[in-house]
Amino acid sequence: MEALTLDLLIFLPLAAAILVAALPDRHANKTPRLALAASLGVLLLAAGLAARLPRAIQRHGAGALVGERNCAWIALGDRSPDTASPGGAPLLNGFELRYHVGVDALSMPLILLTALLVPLSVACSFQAIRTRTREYYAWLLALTTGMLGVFAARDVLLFYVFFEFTLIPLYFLIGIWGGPQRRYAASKFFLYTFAGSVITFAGLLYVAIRAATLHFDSVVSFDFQRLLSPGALEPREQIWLFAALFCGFAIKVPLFPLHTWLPLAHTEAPTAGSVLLAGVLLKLGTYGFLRLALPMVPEGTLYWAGALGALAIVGIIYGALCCWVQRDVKKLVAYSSVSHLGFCMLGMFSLLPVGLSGSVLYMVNHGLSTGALFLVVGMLYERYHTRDLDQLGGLARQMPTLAFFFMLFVLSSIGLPGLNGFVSEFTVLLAAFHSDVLGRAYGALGATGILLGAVYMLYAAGKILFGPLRQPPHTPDLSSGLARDLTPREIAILTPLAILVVLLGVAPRLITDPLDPLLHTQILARFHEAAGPLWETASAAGGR
Amino acid sequence: MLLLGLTTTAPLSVFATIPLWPLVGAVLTGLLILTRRRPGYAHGPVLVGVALSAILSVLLFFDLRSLGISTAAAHSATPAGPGVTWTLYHWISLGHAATLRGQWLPVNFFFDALTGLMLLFVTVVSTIIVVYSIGYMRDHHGQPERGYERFFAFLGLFVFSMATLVLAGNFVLLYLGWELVGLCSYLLIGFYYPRPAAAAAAKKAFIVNRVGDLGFALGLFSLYCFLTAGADPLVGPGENPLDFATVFKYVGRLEPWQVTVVALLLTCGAVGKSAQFPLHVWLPDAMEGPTPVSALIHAATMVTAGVYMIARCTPLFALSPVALDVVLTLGLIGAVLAATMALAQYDMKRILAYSTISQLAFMFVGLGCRAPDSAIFHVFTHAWFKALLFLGAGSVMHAMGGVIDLRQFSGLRHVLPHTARTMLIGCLALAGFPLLSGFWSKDELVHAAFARHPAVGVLLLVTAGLTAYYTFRMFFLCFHGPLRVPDEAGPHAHESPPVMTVPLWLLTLGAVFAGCLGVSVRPGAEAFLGLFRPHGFVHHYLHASTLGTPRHAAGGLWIMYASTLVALAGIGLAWARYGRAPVTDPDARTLGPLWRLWHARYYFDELYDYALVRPLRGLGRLFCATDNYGLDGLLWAIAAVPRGLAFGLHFLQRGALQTYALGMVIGLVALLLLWNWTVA
Repeated sequence: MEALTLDLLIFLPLAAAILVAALPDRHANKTPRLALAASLGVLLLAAGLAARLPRAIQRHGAGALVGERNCAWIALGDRSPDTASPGGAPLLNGFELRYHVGVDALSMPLILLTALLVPLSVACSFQAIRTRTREYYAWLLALTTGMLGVFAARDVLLFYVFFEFTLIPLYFLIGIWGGPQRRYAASKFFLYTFAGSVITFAGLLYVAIRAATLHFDSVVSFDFQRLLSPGALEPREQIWLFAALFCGFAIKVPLFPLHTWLPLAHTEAPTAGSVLLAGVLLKLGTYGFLRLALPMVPEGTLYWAGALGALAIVGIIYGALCCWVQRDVKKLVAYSSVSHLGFCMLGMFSLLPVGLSGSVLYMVNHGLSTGALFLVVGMLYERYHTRDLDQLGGLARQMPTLAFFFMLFVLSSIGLPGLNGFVSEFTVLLAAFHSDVLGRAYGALGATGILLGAVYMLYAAGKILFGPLRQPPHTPDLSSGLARDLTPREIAILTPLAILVVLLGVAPRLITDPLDPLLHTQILARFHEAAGPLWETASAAGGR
Repeated sequence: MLLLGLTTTAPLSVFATIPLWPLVGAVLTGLLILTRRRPGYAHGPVLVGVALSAILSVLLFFDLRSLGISTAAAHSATPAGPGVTWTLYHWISLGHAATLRGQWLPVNFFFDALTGLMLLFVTVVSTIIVVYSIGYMRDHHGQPERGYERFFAFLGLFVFSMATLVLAGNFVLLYLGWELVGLCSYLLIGFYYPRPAAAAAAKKAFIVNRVGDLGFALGLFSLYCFLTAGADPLVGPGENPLDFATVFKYVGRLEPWQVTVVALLLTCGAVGKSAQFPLHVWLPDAMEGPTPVSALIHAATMVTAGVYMIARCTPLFALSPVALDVVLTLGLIGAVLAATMALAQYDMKRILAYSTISQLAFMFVGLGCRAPDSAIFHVFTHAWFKALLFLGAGSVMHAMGGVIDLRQFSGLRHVLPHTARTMLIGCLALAGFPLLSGFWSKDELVHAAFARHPAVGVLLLVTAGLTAYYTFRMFFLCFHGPLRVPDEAGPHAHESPPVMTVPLWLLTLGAVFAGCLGVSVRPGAEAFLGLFRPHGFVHHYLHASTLGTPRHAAGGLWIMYASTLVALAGIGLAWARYGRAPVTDPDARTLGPLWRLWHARYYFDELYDYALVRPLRGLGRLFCATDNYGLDGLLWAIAAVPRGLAFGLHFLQRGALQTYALGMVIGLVALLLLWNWTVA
């Protein structure tokens, strides 16, 4: 039953996408509603799965999976016993790709985030998308399948398939419905991320093959179970493997200096694209690091953690300062992702329990607040046809409701205590400060992000909302049925996000309570066992 | 009061709702905004909420001892000296690890005498100011101003945040209140957001505060690190590492340098929030907000949060002489700088703002001299008379049609009799006139300063004289001399309605009598005027708090007489020079360039702009250019390799048969030659 729910969750959007694309002309005007219904179905299914998680954890322990389905998909070669080489080690005789999905406490928050953001981004496109609507919604729904698949996959190759699959719908979403530079942005985005993930793929293949040999198995399996503890990989191997995994994931995150695709892609993408890009797709990178890189190559992680922490800090400061001088508010929000994801990585590579859980929380919170900011910016753009900070000003008087939401999400984004952003920012910085791997300098430098975040976000909010009224001539353009202030539809889009922003600010343990034990047993434990001596000495030295 | 009968049975959970009611009021008023009308009763929910928490706070103030604060703990609390922690719920998890079992960042409240005293004046002054705002936030016809309900919603939110800050039982919740009051300050300074000056001032206030908060946050991080580091951390299971109770329990076992680091970083936060040198620049600009806000947030309550925090952390600061000296030095610099700047301003509210900075600096000096109870006592008295002064200035502004420049009016005592009388009392209290509240608390600070070092004491006395002088310069320029009224005031400027003057008189009562809490009346030769002795009730009351039992230097009776003399001299000098409200400023002539330096506020704003803001923005531009040209250029170069290869190779396949034929011939010849050569 649960497995069926998960199957439905993943493939309902794809089925809906095909249906939408095949819709005859005379029903074309029903497309948006159909897409919305499908995405709401996804949200319901995800909520249903989430409701089962606590009990599953109670019954099966921290790493419990809900909706697990494990069946053979592609298998080449066989496990015939006579293939053992004379030396005793088996010859690799084939490989096995399984359709193995399931949701645990780590992927659940991200699946919920995706399932929440998709209906919102469908709903925000009702007015904005006027051309080729059927294709648009079809691609959007197909993208949903890709994103959900990544988080649900329990097989590395399946993970990779979904991971790469997300590129295709997004390529079209940016390339067809984007801004003036959409083609360049789409190709740059596609090539950049693709080039990186190919290297990651090579790394994953290598681990799978090595794991098979280390386990004396003649068939190369890609299951998480196997690959997340691939056996005694040499430290040298691990260092190289981490670098390979880094290429794909760091570009996706994006970590400085591999971030240059992001401002362009975010700015040029249609609102829904930006929301999903910032809200979910960047998390594929951080999720990849956390799910695969850390447990798979703990010693490699330890080796590189300092460097990654440093890159994260450069990203925090660099991104923030870039934000401050932007004139395009969408680009500003885009650059803010560089800064924010720096925090996320900083927490992760502190390799402390509080840092890891803060980092996951940061993924969710960033998805909520940055997604919301993109939505608000999109709503502004639909009315004023500009995102230039110098052309807009004093809109709070005209649009009090928008001003309220904008300020709320800005405050969430700059980590105001009581809202969601604070919890993750605080725990992440606390972890970086406390970490033996990173240390106080990292924490202190990262903390400047608290200040810079306020500087650029309040700069943008002040320019748009406050001061004397400034708007381009002949605007706001209300020809498409918009009101001067937000319409009920737009309020309905922003309200769930606003509620969550407050809720996760006062009750972050909704996410972290199931998550913490899992992070401990599945990820941190790997550092204790695999890198035992190194880890012990490091913590002993740091503790003194 | 009827409720008094119930107090002995009221448990802590009732008092823990003190922050809740203003929040409920704020939310209800916020919901009124949704109706899109501008109801004149929008203040109702907030007023009720704030009044409710004021009543609870008064009860709490008198009830603390019966709650067992002075003895050991009740309820599920950990004893931290005299004080009870009441936990609402576990807020943030510290991760799941063996060493962190049972450790959380909770939402909990800490009750001790300091909490009681702070809550008392915070909520009571807030209630008075909310009442005043009902009159102030209306136009001449009694119609609510634009944004009326928004204003009250923010006020309610502010009281919630301030009460949370004061009640917080751990550093993270303190930080929450700390940031939330900053947010309210931001929202309320920017209340008249279409004015560019207001929008800029709001942003400046928030960001300068964040500079301090950065230090504060780092202080929390280091505190956490020091307490939990190592194989055998100080904090055991079941103790939340950032609770006041835990921190103060183990702070004595930290290394001295660790204590100093933490204390200095926390000081950063206090300096930002309390607008002390060098982060004082935001407070004068904050006067762009509505006057009740200046009275409540930027004089009486929020800006004292820094002083409160350092006082709360007395067990920590007491262990670090270095940090105490830093606090002392910053206080001294701030007191003198702000007082001199106040001498050369014309904007009434800005004069009061500088005087606030100066008075807060007095409290810092007190903290630095190991007299936190005296500092808190000054916080307490200052709240009443400074709120009074600001509300009086607001009343003037209300009557003058929004004009607040002292050059534009004078002689207002004829048109604003209530305002003039209450302002006079407020000014006397601020100037340290004997027997008024400001006198008692300031005297204690000066006394503590003399005990620390005579030079410190002398500096404070001089500053006290300056205070008396600039306060009465302002008073005389406003209320004395011939009646002059600006055009904006309309034909008949008149006194404010009772809803504004009654709060003024209530605060006047506070300005006169709040000091009595710190004085005991017992005749004797060693008492002031043979009757009054300092270090009275408040100090005994505060012993049941984390302040502990400070030592008081004996004697110092002459200081009281000296400071009386200094205050009178300042007032007299002001009378001599400004008593007739001259149109040309005599000081500007006499002091020349020095006066202009003060008038330009020592050019701090310009300095920060050139030294920090512009370079950082420049760096931002540089980074952006790096992105667009440097990093993308590099990318382009990498992408150029395959492109170059393709460009090179595409000549070979242009579909021209002759080229192909030529290629074939050349290849054939080459092959033949190769064959020939290898065979032969």
